[in-house]
Amino acid sequence: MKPPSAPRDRFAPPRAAGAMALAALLACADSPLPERHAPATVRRFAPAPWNTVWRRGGAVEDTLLLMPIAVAADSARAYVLDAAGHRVVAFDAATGAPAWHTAGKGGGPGELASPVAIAAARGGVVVADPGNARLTFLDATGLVTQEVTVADVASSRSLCPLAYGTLLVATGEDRPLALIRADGGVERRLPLPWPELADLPSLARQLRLAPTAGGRACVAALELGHGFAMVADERVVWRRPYVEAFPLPRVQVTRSLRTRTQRLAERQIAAYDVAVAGDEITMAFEGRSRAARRLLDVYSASTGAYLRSHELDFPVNAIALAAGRAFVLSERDGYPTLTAYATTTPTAAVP
Amino acid sequence: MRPPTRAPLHLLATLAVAVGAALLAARARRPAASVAEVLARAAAPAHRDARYHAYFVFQPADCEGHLRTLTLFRRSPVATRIRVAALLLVGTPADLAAVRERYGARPYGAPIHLLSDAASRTLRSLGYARTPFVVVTDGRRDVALTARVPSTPEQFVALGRLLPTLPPTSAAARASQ
Repeated sequence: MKPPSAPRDRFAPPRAAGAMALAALLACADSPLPERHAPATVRRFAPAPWNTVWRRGGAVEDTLLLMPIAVAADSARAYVLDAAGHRVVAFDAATGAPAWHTAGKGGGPGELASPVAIAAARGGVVVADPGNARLTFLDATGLVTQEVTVADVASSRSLCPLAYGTLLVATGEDRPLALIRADGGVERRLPLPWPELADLPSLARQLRLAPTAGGRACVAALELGHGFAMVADERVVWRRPYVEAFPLPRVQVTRSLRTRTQRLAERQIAAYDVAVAGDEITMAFEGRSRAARRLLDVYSASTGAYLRSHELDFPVNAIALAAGRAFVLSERDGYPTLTAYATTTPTAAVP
Repeated sequence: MRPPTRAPLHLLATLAVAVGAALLAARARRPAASVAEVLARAAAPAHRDARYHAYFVFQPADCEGHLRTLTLFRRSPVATRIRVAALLLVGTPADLAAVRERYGARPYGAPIHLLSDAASRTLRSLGYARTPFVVVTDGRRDVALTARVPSTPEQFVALGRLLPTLPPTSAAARASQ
């Protein structure tokens, strides 16, 4: 006797037809997003008002900075996150003398497994370490003051310490901004400041964060996108386009019967680091100009209005601003260096 | 009734054996491709110069930090001697698309290609069963250096200091004569 067959889903297509449809639908289709950016604005260049104070690293000190990926600073210290060393290296902000470094690779107290982001916080520094799924707080002398396990750190990319001990973390989640309490709990998840980009793949929604003076707000800059925003009190205060008109990432959509996969067809970086000092936001920009990676665009922190740009004669990998100094990670002859510059306000911008 | 003849079958079988034997003989006479040749084929380098060629072999699961080892090749004393020819991915075309999405088409100035099966076998013969690692070749024939990607600061510093000490490539030596 023929066994009774399972009831067939009447919405399921026949197998042969399904296979044909699958074959037809597996083809990729380009779906360029509409470009929502302001018309190109001409940069207004001003000489970089910087005087070199000290420089560390380079070929002579090739064991000091191995593979630095981020820098943070306060009035006393400059902190470098060294990915190859799995450590934070701290320098005296005034003299550049090495002050301390963390223990190295591991999961023990003060050890880091795969650190990805760093920010000055609580008179010291905080490190996002997805390898250990935790945030590590260090004081100005390098002592661990707190280690909190935070699941969101697993996909963290950038940190913004706020007043009252909270921390805004940019993640790869659907609601990419997580407000973390001092005890490590997630206070709230915030949506992307650009709701129209919510459906993009997480890679296309990567954010760089930087706190404003006093930790009252955070600047959130799209790494692959077209602009930046100010986030305060869990809401978006304003959104602005970059001075260099920059398209949104081109997304390639692959459809099958049951799934719809999005991939970036091209990965073009816009802003790759951001720092705030006083009322100015400084953005390290790659973009498509001939001066890519040597550009610093400056915007007003109050309104987001474009102020001026600086074209440097060396590529900038990361930047931190504190107490009238700019701390810049760059490469000299291919060797990583950290340079401290004394900054002054430029008197004029050259159109 | 006359039984069907088997002559055509015999003829075909004889022909197949003869062709197979000829192919085997030709393969035996052909010199084995060098590691450098196999890698160059896998990467299809756009241009050749008198520098060493470096290949970075990795998998999608390898962490991004390992890829940053390629910053060592940007150092002036290294860059004048060694060119990063390609990043060779062990994986599928879908992996390649995902990696290009994550790192861009030319991370660290070099294209990403899939590692061919032939190249993979050749690299295994060098003793590499795990990624990531680096192979540096001299022109089309010789392997100049192979190294696992540094996992400690000491190894990183050591590799950074070792790379500039490679002697001039054979092509550079010929050119200087």
